[in-house]
Amino acid sequence: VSKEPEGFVQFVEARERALQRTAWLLTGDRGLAEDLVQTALVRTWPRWKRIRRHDDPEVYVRRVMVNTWATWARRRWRGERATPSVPEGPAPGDIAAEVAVRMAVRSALASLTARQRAVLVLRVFDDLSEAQVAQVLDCAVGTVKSTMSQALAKLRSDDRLAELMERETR
Amino acid sequence: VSQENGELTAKLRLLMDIAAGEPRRQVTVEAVRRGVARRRKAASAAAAAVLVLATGTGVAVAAQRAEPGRRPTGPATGGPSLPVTQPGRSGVPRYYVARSVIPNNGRTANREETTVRATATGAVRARLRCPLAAPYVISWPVAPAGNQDFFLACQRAAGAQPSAKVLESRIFRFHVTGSGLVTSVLPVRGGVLGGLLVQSIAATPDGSEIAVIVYPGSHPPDLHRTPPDVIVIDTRTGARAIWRGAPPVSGRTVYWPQDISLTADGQRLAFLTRPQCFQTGCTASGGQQMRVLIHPASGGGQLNSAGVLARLNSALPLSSATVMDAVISPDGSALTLAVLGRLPGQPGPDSISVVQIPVSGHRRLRFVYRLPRGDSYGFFSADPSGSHFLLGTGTLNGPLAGRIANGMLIPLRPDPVIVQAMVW
Repeated sequence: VSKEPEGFVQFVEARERALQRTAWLLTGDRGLAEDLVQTALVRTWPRWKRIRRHDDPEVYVRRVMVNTWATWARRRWRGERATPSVPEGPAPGDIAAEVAVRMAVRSALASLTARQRAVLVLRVFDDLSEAQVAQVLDCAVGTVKSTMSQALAKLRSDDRLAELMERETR
Repeated sequence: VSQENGELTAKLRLLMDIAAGEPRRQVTVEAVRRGVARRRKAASAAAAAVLVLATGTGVAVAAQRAEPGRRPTGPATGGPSLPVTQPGRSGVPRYYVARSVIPNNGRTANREETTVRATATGAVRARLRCPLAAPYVISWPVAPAGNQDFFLACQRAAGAQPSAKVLESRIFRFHVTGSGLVTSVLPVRGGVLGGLLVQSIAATPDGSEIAVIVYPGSHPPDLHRTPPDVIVIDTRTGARAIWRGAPPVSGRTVYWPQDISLTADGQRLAFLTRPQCFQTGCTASGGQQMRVLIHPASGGGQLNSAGVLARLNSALPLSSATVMDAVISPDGSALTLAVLGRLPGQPGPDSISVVQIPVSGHRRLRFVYRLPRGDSYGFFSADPSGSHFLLGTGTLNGPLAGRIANGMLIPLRPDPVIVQAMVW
């Protein structure tokens, strides 16, 4: 493999954690999130020079991530393997409260379709504009708006999430 | 609405931020570099494989053409010239078909499904759906033929209850591709069975002949006084031969089939049976037997007239054991039996064994598998080669379902609690 293209190392070092957090919200699994980010970066590497010239690299990587996740989500079986130990490590601080939030968010996101989840995560968590989300998902801005509205409507009916929102924002 | 949405998204952002947490490990440039290297290697290997396949196919086709008097076996033009399916490692079939019950926590009736699963991982590769436009269709039983072809009985029922009348059964043939997908679900010639319920199917490995045990659709098989028939269908012509079960009349001993199997050439149909009589004062003697119909497709007749292939209680000490299922080997030389109960060399009365005996000569037992504390029997199935077996059984600790390999039961998905039956 040739030397990494210019700017790639800096991009990975600066953005991999943010990308992993987005990937976790998409997948709901730490291991899958790492795989997803790595896969997206591997696919981006050969086109890096062109992307830097014509595109915003982060938008491009997120697009690859979302598309890769959509492909994985379409597969019926995602390579789950039983494991004797719980893979999550201990979290600092109030573990119980954090775990409760994590589980509620994961379950709420899991109730959405892959596209609704992608729109919600990119729009709300990554704070991309509707136009940027449309660019990542390769769809119309109107589609982003309607998908977002459907996703929010679904989440409004999630009692557990509503209770947590009330508690956390008090 | 916009303000409400704004508040909601702000709260959501906060929760997502907490939930996403901090990643435990870093995705490093070095890891990405390794991924890129692997991807390039895989791409060049794939390109090389395509080249080798193309060259190899060319050489093979040229060799076939050069050989005098030999007809090419591949399609004349277009289409794949290599076999679509490859055997799994050690010849173990790559896919199996499982019938399972999906519990619905009592809210509505449990759902049943028939799935094609990969032997190596248990992953669902396809869900079988009968191509019938009807509200209640049972997609079972299934019988394996060779080359990953299967026969499926689609039974149109009058309702969702297990005892609902079966209005019609139709036999279909489907193929499982190398990647486990189901293609070409095609109706079998002569496979429309009006008003009949299909209890069991057997097929020859080339799929040219199938046999089904049928009951009248209005009489589920647990009504033990209903005689079953065996219908043998030539799938190339649709011709049928019907073998009738004797009615339960006074003073007559009847031999009704419990399960059926065919030899590879389709010349023998073997069935497990026991003598039964239904009137007071009538005693059935002789114990369990394997009976055989010779040239079963050539013409029908009475199942009672089938010849005795093996008297199982002379081959096995069956005083405290029962043969639950039996199949004849593809060459017709041996029988493989699933036995519940005590056999020689086993410590307790509770056991499940899979044993083989030769059809003729000295009937020495060969144990294929033994579960010493097995106390229940679920199902048994042999693959078209007669050398790989699936078994559903259980102990006090719960049910087990899997494949037999080297004297061990290798568990297969799904959870055996919900498995009804499996076939290769």
